[in-house]
Amino acid sequence: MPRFSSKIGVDTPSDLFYIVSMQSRTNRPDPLGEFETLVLMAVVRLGSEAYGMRIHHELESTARRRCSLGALYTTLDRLEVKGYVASQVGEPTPERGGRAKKYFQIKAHGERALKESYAATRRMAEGIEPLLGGGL
Amino acid sequence: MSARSLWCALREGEWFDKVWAATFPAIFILYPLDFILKLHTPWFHAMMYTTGILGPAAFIVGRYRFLTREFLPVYTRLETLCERVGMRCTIRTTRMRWLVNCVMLCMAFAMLLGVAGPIFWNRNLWVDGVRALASVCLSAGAVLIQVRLYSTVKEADRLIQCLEEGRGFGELRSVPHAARFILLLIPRRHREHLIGDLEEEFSSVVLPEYGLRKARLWYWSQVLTSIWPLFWAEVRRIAGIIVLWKSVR
Repeated sequence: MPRFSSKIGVDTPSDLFYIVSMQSRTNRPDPLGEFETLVLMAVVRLGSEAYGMRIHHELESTARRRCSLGALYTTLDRLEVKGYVASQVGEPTPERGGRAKKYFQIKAHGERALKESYAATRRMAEGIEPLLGGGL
Repeated sequence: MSARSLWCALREGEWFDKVWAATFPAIFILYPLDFILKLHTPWFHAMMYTTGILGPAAFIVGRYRFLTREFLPVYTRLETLCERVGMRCTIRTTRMRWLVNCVMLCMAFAMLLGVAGPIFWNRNLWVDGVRALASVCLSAGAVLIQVRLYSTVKEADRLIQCLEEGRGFGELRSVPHAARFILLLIPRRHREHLIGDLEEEFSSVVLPEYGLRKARLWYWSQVLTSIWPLFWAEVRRIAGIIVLWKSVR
Protein backbone atom coordinates (compact mmCIF):
# COMPACT_ATOMS: atom_id res chain seq x y z
CA MET A 1 0.00 0.00 0.00
CA PRO A 2 1.73 3.19 -1.06
CA ARG A 3 2.03 5.88 1.50
CA PHE A 4 0.82 9.22 0.20
CA SER A 5 2.03 12.30 1.90
CA SER A 6 0.38 15.68 1.83
CA LYS A 7 3.32 17.00 -0.22
CA ILE A 8 2.65 16.11 -3.83
CA GLY A 9 4.84 17.72 -6.45
CA VAL A 10 8.42 18.04 -7.58
CA ASP A 11 9.84 19.16 -4.30
CA THR A 12 11.96 16.09 -3.53
CA PRO A 13 15.23 15.12 -5.24
CA SER A 14 13.88 11.78 -6.48
CA ASP A 15 10.95 13.46 -8.21
CA LEU A 16 13.24 15.93 -9.92
CA PHE A 17 15.52 13.24 -11.34
CA TYR A 18 12.53 11.15 -12.39
CA ILE A 19 11.03 14.00 -14.38
CA VAL A 20 14.36 14.89 -16.01
CA SER A 21 14.92 11.30 -17.11
CA MET A 22 11.39 11.02 -18.48
CA GLN A 23 11.93 14.09 -20.64
CA SER A 24 15.14 12.78 -22.12
CA ARG A 25 13.62 9.39 -22.99
CA THR A 26 10.94 10.93 -25.17
CA ASN A 27 13.79 12.15 -27.45
CA ARG A 28 11.58 14.86 -28.83
CA PRO A 29 13.27 18.24 -29.27
CA ASP A 30 12.00 21.19 -27.29
CA PRO A 31 9.91 23.57 -29.38
CA LEU A 32 11.92 26.52 -30.64
CA GLY A 33 11.11 30.13 -29.91
CA GLU A 34 10.80 32.61 -32.75
CA PHE A 35 14.23 34.15 -32.21
CA GLU A 36 15.83 30.75 -31.71
CA THR A 37 14.37 29.63 -35.05
CA LEU A 38 15.80 32.69 -36.79
CA VAL A 39 19.23 32.16 -35.23
CA LEU A 40 19.27 28.49 -36.22
CA MET A 41 18.25 29.41 -39.78
CA ALA A 42 21.08 31.98 -39.93
CA VAL A 43 23.55 29.33 -38.74
CA VAL A 44 22.33 26.97 -41.47
CA ARG A 45 22.50 29.67 -44.15
CA LEU A 46 26.05 30.73 -43.23
CA GLY A 47 27.42 27.18 -43.04
CA SER A 48 31.08 27.15 -42.07
CA GLU A 49 31.20 30.97 -41.73
CA ALA A 50 28.71 31.15 -38.88
CA TYR A 51 30.21 33.20 -36.06
CA GLY A 52 28.77 35.94 -33.85
CA MET A 53 29.04 39.03 -36.03
CA ARG A 54 28.15 37.22 -39.28
CA ILE A 55 25.04 35.73 -37.70
CA HIS A 56 24.15 39.19 -36.39
CA HIS A 57 24.52 40.65 -39.91
CA GLU A 58 22.46 37.86 -41.38
CA LEU A 59 19.66 38.47 -38.90
CA GLU A 60 19.70 42.19 -39.62
CA SER A 61 19.96 42.00 -43.40
CA THR A 62 17.82 38.97 -44.23
CA ALA A 63 15.35 38.69 -41.35
CA ARG A 64 15.41 42.47 -40.74
CA ARG A 65 15.55 41.69 -37.05
CA ARG A 66 17.59 44.05 -34.89
CA CYS A 67 19.15 42.56 -31.79
CA SER A 68 22.16 43.12 -29.61
CA LEU A 69 25.18 40.87 -29.70
CA GLY A 70 24.53 40.04 -26.07
CA ALA A 71 21.05 38.72 -26.85
CA LEU A 72 22.48 36.72 -29.76
CA TYR A 73 25.19 35.13 -27.63
CA THR A 74 22.66 34.30 -24.91
CA THR A 75 20.47 32.55 -27.47
CA LEU A 76 23.40 30.69 -29.01
CA ASP A 77 24.47 29.60 -25.53
CA ARG A 78 20.96 28.32 -24.82
CA LEU A 79 20.88 26.44 -28.13
CA GLU A 80 24.24 24.91 -27.32
CA VAL A 81 23.02 23.78 -23.89
CA LYS A 82 19.96 22.20 -25.56
CA GLY A 83 22.32 20.39 -27.93
CA TYR A 84 21.07 22.07 -31.10
CA VAL A 85 24.36 23.67 -32.10
CA ALA A 86 28.01 22.89 -31.54
CA SER A 87 30.72 25.52 -31.23
CA GLN A 88 34.34 25.54 -32.22
CA VAL A 89 36.97 28.18 -31.49
CA GLY A 90 38.89 29.42 -34.55
CA GLU A 91 42.26 31.06 -34.98
CA PRO A 92 42.94 34.51 -33.49
CA THR A 93 43.12 37.29 -36.10
CA PRO A 94 44.78 40.75 -35.94
CA GLU A 95 41.65 42.72 -36.92
CA ARG A 96 39.93 41.28 -33.86
CA GLY A 97 42.77 42.41 -31.60
CA GLY A 98 44.21 38.89 -31.45
CA ARG A 99 40.94 37.34 -30.31
CA ALA A 100 39.54 34.12 -31.70
CA LYS A 101 36.20 33.65 -33.45
CA LYS A 102 33.67 31.16 -32.13
CA TYR A 103 32.12 29.23 -35.02
CA PHE A 104 28.74 27.57 -34.65
CA GLN A 105 27.41 24.56 -36.51
CA ILE A 106 23.97 23.00 -36.38
CA LYS A 107 23.71 19.45 -35.01
CA ALA A 108 21.30 16.71 -36.07
CA HIS A 109 19.11 17.37 -33.03
CA GLY A 110 18.96 21.05 -33.97
CA GLU A 111 18.10 20.23 -37.56
CA ARG A 112 15.22 18.09 -36.40
CA ALA A 113 13.95 20.85 -34.10
CA LEU A 114 14.23 23.41 -36.88
CA LYS A 115 12.38 21.17 -39.33
CA GLU A 116 9.57 20.63 -36.83
CA SER A 117 9.32 24.33 -36.06
CA TYR A 118 9.34 25.23 -39.74
CA ALA A 119 6.76 22.60 -40.59
CA ALA A 120 4.49 23.79 -37.77
CA THR A 121 4.79 27.38 -38.98
CA ARG A 122 3.99 26.35 -42.55
CA ARG A 123 0.98 24.33 -41.46
CA MET A 124 -0.34 27.24 -39.44
CA ALA A 125 0.36 29.68 -42.25
CA GLU A 126 -1.65 27.71 -44.82
CA GLY A 127 -4.69 29.67 -45.86
CA ILE A 128 -3.95 32.56 -43.54
CA GLU A 129 -3.01 35.07 -46.24
CA PRO A 130 -6.57 36.00 -47.31
CA LEU A 131 -7.55 36.36 -43.65
CA LEU A 132 -4.78 38.92 -43.16
CA GLY A 133 -5.79 40.88 -46.23
CA GLY A 134 -3.03 39.55 -48.50
CA GLY A 135 0.34 41.14 -49.11
CA LEU A 136 2.37 38.47 -47.28
CA MET B 1 34.74 76.26 -20.73
CA SER B 2 32.19 78.66 -22.21
CA ALA B 3 33.45 81.56 -20.10
CA ARG B 4 37.00 80.71 -21.13
CA SER B 5 36.18 80.73 -24.83
CA LEU B 6 34.36 84.04 -24.40
CA TRP B 7 37.38 85.49 -22.64
CA CYS B 8 39.68 84.12 -25.40
CA ALA B 9 37.49 85.72 -28.06
CA LEU B 10 37.52 89.05 -26.21
CA ARG B 11 41.26 89.03 -25.68
CA GLU B 12 42.65 87.41 -28.80
CA GLY B 13 39.88 87.56 -31.38
CA GLU B 14 39.40 89.97 -34.25
CA TRP B 15 36.92 92.86 -34.11
CA PHE B 16 33.86 90.72 -34.81
CA ASP B 17 34.91 88.24 -32.13
CA LYS B 18 35.20 91.08 -29.68
CA VAL B 19 31.77 92.39 -30.72
CA TRP B 20 29.90 89.12 -30.30
CA ALA B 21 31.79 88.18 -27.15
CA ALA B 22 30.75 91.49 -25.63
CA THR B 23 27.16 91.53 -26.88
CA PHE B 24 26.08 87.96 -26.16
CA PRO B 25 26.40 88.21 -22.39
CA ALA B 26 24.53 91.51 -22.66
CA ILE B 27 21.75 89.83 -24.67
CA PHE B 28 21.68 87.01 -22.16
CA ILE B 29 21.05 89.49 -19.36
CA LEU B 30 19.10 92.35 -21.01
CA TYR B 31 16.21 90.43 -22.58
CA PRO B 32 15.24 88.34 -19.55
CA LEU B 33 15.66 91.49 -17.41
CA ASP B 34 13.23 93.33 -19.67
CA PHE B 35 10.77 90.46 -19.37
CA ILE B 36 11.05 90.20 -15.58
CA LEU B 37 11.38 93.85 -14.49
CA LYS B 38 9.32 95.42 -17.32
CA LEU B 39 11.87 98.18 -17.91
CA HIS B 40 10.10 99.78 -20.85
CA THR B 41 12.36 102.76 -21.30
CA PRO B 42 13.57 103.94 -24.72
CA TRP B 43 17.28 103.79 -23.89
CA PHE B 44 16.89 100.24 -22.55
CA HIS B 45 15.10 99.09 -25.67
CA ALA B 46 17.65 100.83 -27.89
CA MET B 47 20.39 98.92 -26.06
CA MET B 48 18.46 95.67 -26.41
CA TYR B 49 17.91 95.93 -30.14
CA THR B 50 21.42 97.19 -30.85
CA THR B 51 22.93 94.22 -29.11
CA GLY B 52 20.26 91.92 -30.60
CA ILE B 53 21.24 92.87 -34.14
CA LEU B 54 24.95 93.55 -33.74
CA GLY B 55 25.76 90.37 -31.78
CA PRO B 56 24.34 87.75 -34.18
CA ALA B 57 25.63 89.69 -37.22
CA ALA B 58 29.17 89.79 -35.82
CA PHE B 59 28.88 86.16 -34.82
CA ILE B 60 27.86 85.04 -38.31
CA VAL B 61 30.70 87.04 -39.92
CA GLY B 62 33.13 85.65 -37.38
CA ARG B 63 32.06 82.06 -37.82
CA TYR B 64 32.17 82.31 -41.59
CA ARG B 65 35.74 83.63 -41.45
CA PHE B 66 36.69 81.00 -38.87
CA LEU B 67 35.25 78.22 -41.04
CA THR B 68 37.01 79.37 -44.20
CA ARG B 69 40.36 80.35 -42.67
CA GLU B 70 40.96 77.80 -39.90
CA PHE B 71 38.38 75.03 -39.91
CA LEU B 72 38.44 74.01 -43.57
CA PRO B 73 42.25 73.98 -44.04
CA VAL B 74 42.68 71.80 -40.94
CA TYR B 75 40.05 69.34 -42.07
CA THR B 76 41.28 69.24 -45.64
CA ARG B 77 44.69 68.30 -44.27
CA LEU B 78 43.16 65.67 -42.00
CA GLU B 79 41.20 64.25 -44.89
CA THR B 80 44.35 63.96 -47.02
CA LEU B 81 46.19 62.20 -44.21
CA CYS B 82 43.28 59.85 -43.59
CA GLU B 83 43.20 58.93 -47.26
CA ARG B 84 46.91 58.21 -47.13
CA VAL B 85 46.43 55.64 -44.35
CA GLY B 86 43.41 54.13 -46.09
CA MET B 87 40.56 55.69 -44.15
CA ARG B 88 37.68 57.86 -45.22
CA CYS B 89 37.29 61.03 -43.22
CA THR B 90 33.62 61.82 -43.02
CA ILE B 91 33.89 63.93 -39.88
CA ARG B 92 34.26 67.12 -41.84
CA THR B 93 31.08 66.90 -43.83
CA THR B 94 28.90 65.83 -40.91
CA ARG B 95 30.23 68.55 -38.64
CA MET B 96 29.99 71.16 -41.34
CA ARG B 97 26.35 70.29 -41.81
CA TRP B 98 25.79 70.57 -38.08
CA LEU B 99 27.51 73.94 -37.99
CA VAL B 100 25.61 75.30 -40.94
CA ASN B 101 22.37 74.29 -39.21
CA CYS B 102 23.46 76.09 -36.08
CA VAL B 103 24.38 79.23 -38.01
CA MET B 104 21.00 79.16 -39.73
CA LEU B 105 19.34 78.83 -36.35
CA CYS B 106 21.31 81.84 -35.13
CA MET B 107 20.19 83.83 -38.13
CA ALA B 108 16.58 82.91 -37.45
CA PHE B 109 16.93 84.08 -33.87
CA ALA B 110 18.64 87.26 -34.97
CA MET B 111 15.77 87.98 -37.32
CA LEU B 112 13.29 87.27 -34.58
CA LEU B 113 15.05 89.58 -32.16
CA GLY B 114 16.03 92.37 -34.48
CA VAL B 115 13.06 92.55 -36.87
CA ALA B 116 10.04 91.04 -35.13
CA GLY B 117 10.88 92.69 -31.81
CA PRO B 118 10.17 96.35 -32.70
CA ILE B 119 7.09 95.37 -34.74
CA PHE B 120 5.48 93.76 -31.69
CA TRP B 121 6.41 96.57 -29.39
CA ASN B 122 3.11 96.37 -27.58
CA ARG B 123 3.96 95.25 -24.04
CA ASN B 124 2.56 91.83 -24.85
CA LEU B 125 3.56 89.28 -22.24
CA TRP B 126 3.81 86.42 -24.73
CA VAL B 127 5.97 88.40 -27.16
CA ASP B 128 8.24 89.52 -24.34
CA GLY B 129 8.47 85.95 -23.09
CA VAL B 130 9.30 84.49 -26.49
CA ARG B 131 11.85 87.23 -27.05
CA ALA B 132 13.51 86.59 -23.70
CA LEU B 133 13.60 82.85 -24.32
CA ALA B 134 14.96 83.32 -27.83
CA SER B 135 17.67 85.65 -26.59
CA VAL B 136 18.79 83.19 -23.93
CA CYS B 137 18.82 80.34 -26.49
CA LEU B 138 20.73 82.48 -28.96
CA SER B 139 23.43 83.47 -26.52
CA ALA B 140 23.82 79.98 -25.07
CA GLY B 141 23.76 78.37 -28.54
CA ALA B 142 26.34 80.78 -29.91
CA VAL B 143 28.74 80.13 -27.04
CA LEU B 144 28.19 76.38 -27.48
CA ILE B 145 29.04 76.66 -31.18
CA GLN B 146 32.17 78.55 -30.30
CA VAL B 147 33.25 75.93 -27.76
CA ARG B 148 32.44 73.16 -30.22
CA LEU B 149 34.43 74.80 -32.98
CA TYR B 150 37.50 75.24 -30.82
CA SER B 151 37.33 71.68 -29.52
CA THR B 152 36.78 70.32 -33.05
CA VAL B 153 39.82 72.10 -34.41
CA LYS B 154 41.82 70.98 -31.39
CA GLU B 155 40.76 67.38 -31.96
CA ALA B 156 41.63 67.63 -35.64
CA ASP B 157 45.06 69.03 -34.73
CA ARG B 158 45.63 66.14 -32.35
CA LEU B 159 44.67 63.59 -35.01
CA ILE B 160 46.89 65.30 -37.58
CA GLN B 161 49.79 65.22 -35.15
CA CYS B 162 49.18 61.53 -34.44
CA LEU B 163 49.02 60.68 -38.14
CA GLU B 164 52.13 62.71 -39.01
CA GLU B 165 54.13 61.02 -36.29
CA GLY B 166 53.06 57.64 -37.62
CA ARG B 167 51.29 56.54 -34.43
CA GLY B 168 47.88 57.79 -35.44
CA PHE B 169 46.65 54.68 -37.17
CA GLY B 170 46.37 52.72 -33.96
CA GLU B 171 45.02 55.63 -31.97
CA LEU B 172 42.38 56.45 -34.56
CA ARG B 173 41.16 52.89 -34.50
CA SER B 174 41.03 52.51 -30.76
CA VAL B 175 37.70 51.66 -29.18
CA PRO B 176 36.49 53.59 -26.11
CA HIS B 177 38.50 52.31 -23.16
CA ALA B 178 35.73 52.83 -20.62
CA ALA B 179 33.37 50.71 -22.74
CA ARG B 180 35.98 47.98 -22.94
CA PHE B 181 36.27 48.10 -19.17
CA ILE B 182 32.49 47.60 -18.85
CA LEU B 183 32.76 44.52 -21.07
CA LEU B 184 34.69 42.84 -18.25
CA LEU B 185 31.26 42.31 -16.63
CA ILE B 186 30.37 39.80 -19.36
CA PRO B 187 30.75 36.12 -18.36
CA ARG B 188 34.18 34.85 -19.27
CA ARG B 189 32.95 32.16 -21.69
CA HIS B 190 31.46 34.84 -23.98
CA ARG B 191 33.83 37.72 -23.32
CA GLU B 192 36.66 37.02 -25.75
CA HIS B 193 34.42 36.23 -28.72
CA LEU B 194 32.03 39.11 -28.14
CA ILE B 195 34.83 41.66 -27.73
CA GLY B 196 36.52 40.23 -30.82
CA ASP B 197 33.32 40.53 -32.84
CA LEU B 198 32.80 44.11 -31.71
CA GLU B 199 36.39 45.11 -32.50
CA GLU B 200 36.27 43.48 -35.92
CA GLU B 201 33.06 45.30 -36.79
CA PHE B 202 34.37 48.56 -35.33
CA SER B 203 37.64 48.61 -37.24
CA SER B 204 36.58 47.03 -40.52
CA VAL B 205 33.03 48.30 -41.11
CA VAL B 206 31.79 51.08 -38.81
CA LEU B 207 34.94 53.23 -38.51
CA PRO B 208 35.74 53.52 -42.25
CA GLU B 209 32.06 54.06 -43.04
CA TYR B 210 30.96 56.56 -40.38
CA GLY B 211 34.10 58.09 -38.85
CA LEU B 212 35.54 57.98 -35.37
CA ARG B 213 32.81 59.81 -33.47
CA LYS B 214 29.90 57.76 -34.76
CA ALA B 215 31.93 54.55 -34.56
CA ARG B 216 32.56 55.20 -30.88
CA LEU B 217 28.92 55.95 -30.29
CA TRP B 218 28.06 52.69 -32.08
CA TYR B 219 30.52 50.80 -29.86
CA TRP B 220 29.00 52.29 -26.72
CA SER B 221 25.47 51.43 -27.86
CA GLN B 222 26.49 47.85 -28.63
CA VAL B 223 28.20 47.46 -25.26
CA LEU B 224 25.25 48.85 -23.31
CA THR B 225 22.66 46.78 -25.18
CA SER B 226 24.76 43.61 -25.00
CA ILE B 227 25.50 43.74 -21.29
CA TRP B 228 21.90 43.42 -20.11
CA PRO B 229 20.84 40.10 -21.77
CA LEU B 230 24.07 38.38 -20.76
CA PHE B 231 23.88 39.74 -17.24
CA TRP B 232 20.22 38.72 -16.88
CA ALA B 233 20.92 35.22 -18.23
CA GLU B 234 23.70 34.85 -15.68
CA VAL B 235 21.43 36.02 -12.85
CA ARG B 236 18.75 33.51 -13.86
CA ARG B 237 21.32 30.74 -14.10
CA ILE B 238 22.66 31.47 -10.61
CA ALA B 239 19.11 31.80 -9.25
CA GLY B 240 18.24 28.42 -10.81
CA ILE B 241 21.26 26.79 -9.21
CA ILE B 242 20.34 28.23 -5.81
CA VAL B 243 16.74 27.02 -6.09
CA LEU B 244 17.88 23.54 -7.15
CA TRP B 245 20.42 23.38 -4.36
CA LYS B 246 17.84 24.43 -1.78
CA SER B 247 15.33 21.84 -3.01
CA VAL B 248 17.97 19.06 -3.03
CA ARG B 249 19.10 20.03 0.47
